[in-house]
Amino acid sequence: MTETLAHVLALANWAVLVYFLAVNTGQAVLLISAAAELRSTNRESRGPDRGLRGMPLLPRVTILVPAYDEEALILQTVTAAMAIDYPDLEVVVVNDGSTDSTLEVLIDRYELRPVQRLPTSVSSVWEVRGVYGSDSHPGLVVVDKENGGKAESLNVAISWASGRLVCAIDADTVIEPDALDLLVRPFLDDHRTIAAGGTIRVANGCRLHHARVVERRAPENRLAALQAVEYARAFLFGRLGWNRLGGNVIISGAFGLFDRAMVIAAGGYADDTVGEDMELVLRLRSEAYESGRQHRVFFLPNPVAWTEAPETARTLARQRNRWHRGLADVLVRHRSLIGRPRYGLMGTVVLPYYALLELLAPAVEVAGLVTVAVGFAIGAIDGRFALLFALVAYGYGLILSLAALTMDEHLEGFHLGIGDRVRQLGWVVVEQFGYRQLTVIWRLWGMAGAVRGDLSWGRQSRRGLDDVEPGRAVAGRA
Amino acid sequence: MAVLLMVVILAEVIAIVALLASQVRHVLRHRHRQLRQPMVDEARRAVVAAVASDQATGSTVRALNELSPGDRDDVLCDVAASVRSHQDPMFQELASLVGTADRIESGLRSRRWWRRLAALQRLAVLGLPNPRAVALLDDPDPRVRALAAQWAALVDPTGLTAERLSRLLGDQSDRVRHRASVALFGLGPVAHDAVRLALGSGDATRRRSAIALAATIGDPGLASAVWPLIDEPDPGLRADAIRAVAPLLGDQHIDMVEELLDSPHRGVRGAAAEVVGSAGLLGLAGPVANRILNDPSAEVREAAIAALGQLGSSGELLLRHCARYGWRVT
Repeated sequence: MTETLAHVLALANWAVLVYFLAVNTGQAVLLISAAAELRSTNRESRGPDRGLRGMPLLPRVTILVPAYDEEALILQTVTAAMAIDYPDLEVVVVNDGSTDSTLEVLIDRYELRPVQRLPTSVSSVWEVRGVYGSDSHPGLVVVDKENGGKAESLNVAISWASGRLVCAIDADTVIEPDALDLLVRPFLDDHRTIAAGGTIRVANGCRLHHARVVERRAPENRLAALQAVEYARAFLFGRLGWNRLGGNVIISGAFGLFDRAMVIAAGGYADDTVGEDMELVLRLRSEAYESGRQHRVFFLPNPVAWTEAPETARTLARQRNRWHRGLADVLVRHRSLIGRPRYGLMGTVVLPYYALLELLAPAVEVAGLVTVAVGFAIGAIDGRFALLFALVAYGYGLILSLAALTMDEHLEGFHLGIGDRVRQLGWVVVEQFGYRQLTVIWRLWGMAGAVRGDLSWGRQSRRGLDDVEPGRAVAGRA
Repeated sequence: MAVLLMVVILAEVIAIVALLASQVRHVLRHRHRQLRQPMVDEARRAVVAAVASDQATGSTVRALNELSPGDRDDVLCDVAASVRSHQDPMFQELASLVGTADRIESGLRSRRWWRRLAALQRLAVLGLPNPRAVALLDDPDPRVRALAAQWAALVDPTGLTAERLSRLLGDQSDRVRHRASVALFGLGPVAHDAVRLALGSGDATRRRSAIALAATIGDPGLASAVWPLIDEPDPGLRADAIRAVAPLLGDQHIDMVEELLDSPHRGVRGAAAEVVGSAGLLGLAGPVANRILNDPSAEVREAAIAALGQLGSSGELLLRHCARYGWRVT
């Protein structure tokens, strides 16, 4: 009996080992690809950049801000959005039936008044309660509607938008003033571009002034600090790596730019999923493949937006649960694309990667830990081998995190002070003890939720970022 | 197996040390930059003072020469980008006195595209003329060609430059064609002859870019030159041509536009709906409203909504009528 169990365990361990090698090979390819991409980006931005300022014929951009119970952050977000350095900008805020005073805060601050305005595209199914404009800020439109979820709010915002390009941001996102200027460029430089996204950084701990990050600091809260490392890893070698390979399928809902006509033609955001950002990109890309249209989805490292990371385990758990449910839902929904050469690299490499190496990763990790534990218990595993293997895995994780932080430092803009940097390196060293296992549990919980068909968002409590004067508009911007 | 794992661990340790060393190097470089900052600020103040007084004194040059060559170039470009408009002779003088012009010259000759690009970026920010940079309009790298187009229009806004730029309208790179279009648009009427030349080109890409540009410029003279292209077989080109001739359209063209509204190509239908709005063809408000309610293409429906919005109170009335009947959600 023990011998059979040992045999089964040995097989399981080999399976986990092969999985481990596949994951690491995939990540190594992405890392190399990301480094090459970053080098090329940095070479291009060596000289002084005049930007797009003063350039005629730029497409109008509409910033879409869905807001549900965001009274703590909404002024900061709208002020930052309107302070973006872009010549033809419009901001559409959709108050998604907030139960707090989100709308009242906006009405007070921007002296909003009801306006007679029809949507620029089709929308009659949503219960719009009112549309507001501001004499002092003519580029601002606020749409008040019944609660219907984030995707529905984004669709309403798109209906009221007049820009050729639409930029979806979360209500807790603060965009760097030059970020849009950089993000618009792929649309000017390559007619195949259907979407582009930038880097999201964790704003906790940073010093803000007039809704702009003026000093970058490492978060003091432990969970936020660990997430800062995770964000660098996700964006700067995950998405940047896929970029060079042409396989980007995720544009973060917190900061992404889309061709509005394409989004409308595709039917807008799906409102029956919690992974609406990835779902939209997959739908846009699959439709492009099906119609034989060349297309590109770009991730750019230099346009930066800041977001507030959850600081309590409960909020973070809900977020990770939702992200994993979203991933599962989107992959199941688009399962017919997986492994199909008709969908190019996306079908043959990217989606299998996400399905096998991202979605199933927590389950495999738990299975690996269980088999190792049982193996030890029955003496089927060589302790020295297990220790060396654990060291290899730990070292590899350390390399990925350090490489991401090194790449982060090579981006233009804010640099961390020595103290903050040392602290951040400390978090890199300890993140695999405890935190990683917690995220595995949260993601497993998300998988279970996906199996149950749970599509709830859960309540996201936010503290708000420390801005000196959050509601004060930057002079000269409409 | 254990030996293999130990080798992997050793390799990982080397990689970790290298990455940590890179972090340390970055910290040191940042620290060094912080230490240099007062000198850089001093030089920046000196350049601003020189620009304000229109006189580069010895102290300005000394302040700049105390910096590293890279910092010198950065300070000049920073001030040029934020203080003055292009082609200020002061920057030309300072650039030649502190060696920036020589470094740009050598950068323009480099075999590495990123060095040529950086040199051209400095040239564009400082607004300096340079005969060698004109040749970069034919550079093998599209990034360099695109920037050369912007630079050329800034420093030499003449018909000759427009003619050179109009050749780039047929470039294979989207970025180059876009920047050339922007540069030609910025040149104003000086560029109209060059655009006309491109409209008559045998190169379909160049013709298409020129039609789109003519549509954006909206000049009746250019629109007349586009008129013969309205029957182009390519629907995309035809759609652009329809937009370009909008300034010439009147009630006598209603039948023609109505026919275009029923075209089998959605791009053509969308363009026809657009010109109903931009040319104020009130007689076609009904067929456009019909497009809002019945067209299978979201692009056409959206163009039709925008067109009715441009037709004043009658258009808005129809728009509300359409809204009541329920716009199709794609």
